[in-house]
Amino acid sequence: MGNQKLYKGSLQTIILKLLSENDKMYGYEITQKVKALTKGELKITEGALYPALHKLEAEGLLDVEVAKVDNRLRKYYKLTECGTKETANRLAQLDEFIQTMQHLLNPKLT
Amino acid sequence: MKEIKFTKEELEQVDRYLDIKELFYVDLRHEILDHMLLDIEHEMIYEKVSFEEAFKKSCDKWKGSFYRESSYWLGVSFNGPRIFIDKCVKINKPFFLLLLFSSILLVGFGMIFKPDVDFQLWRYFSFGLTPFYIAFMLYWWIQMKTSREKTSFSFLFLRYAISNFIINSLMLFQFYGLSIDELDLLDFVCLVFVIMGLYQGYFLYKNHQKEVSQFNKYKML
Repeated sequence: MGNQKLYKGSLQTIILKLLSENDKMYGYEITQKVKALTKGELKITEGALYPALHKLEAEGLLDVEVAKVDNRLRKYYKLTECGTKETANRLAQLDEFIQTMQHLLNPKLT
Repeated sequence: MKEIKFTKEELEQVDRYLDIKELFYVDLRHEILDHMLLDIEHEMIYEKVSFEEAFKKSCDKWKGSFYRESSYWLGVSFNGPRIFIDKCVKINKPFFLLLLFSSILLVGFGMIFKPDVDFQLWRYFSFGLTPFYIAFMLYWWIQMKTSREKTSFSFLFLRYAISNFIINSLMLFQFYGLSIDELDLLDFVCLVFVIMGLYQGYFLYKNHQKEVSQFNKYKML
């Protein structure tokens, strides 16, 4: 997809939003959920997903939980209290950004 | 989704791949192993390909994350898989920046306002801090060195602990040799380095223990 670069800046917000709707998720699940929700339009690569998850974790927005599934260890990510507040902030910022872009690119709609 | 039961050899093959890529750190290794196996499973079920083919496809996807890389934030002499270096930088960078800015602010503040600092009080404080600093750093070092599991946190601690420990101990001991008149604000910055070193050591130790205890709850077969 040619517009993958446009989504890149919003990857962290996408992850936070998904985690706010699902109690906890693991890396592969996030990639599959995004693929399904966007009907394959957005594919999050492993090389982009994990650095984003680790950054959010280092910032204290995500917490991790380990569980044993199918005889192997699975690492789940969930929002911290701080992460929940930050999700609301970032979604508001993204909403504002989308509206500004609409004003710029399609002024007739307003 | 129909379930795929991997054979012992297949699991070992993926495990060996991560060994070759030098991904020994439990906080990363298990999540990547799980991701790769899920990906292989998906390919085998929906694309109807063999394990070998699915495994090769998965390796191709991860290739970029395993390229060997170094970072100025960790020292260019060390290199490792990109995903690991990236995680270490994310952990360590805030400490570097905090230390840098607090030092600049302190020296700047001292040079501009020339505050009347009670050096005697500060000297007592650094004397009191020395045994705690040495005891805690040694305890954390032994704990992480003897830990069977490696994490990104233990890597960072062990890589920087010895150099930080020597530099910070020298800084603390120099206070013993100086008279009150010889102390200046730059020595105060040294004290900030020691306090930050202690905090960083605690942070890395605490997170290493947290990661290891989570993984130790479930021993792999």
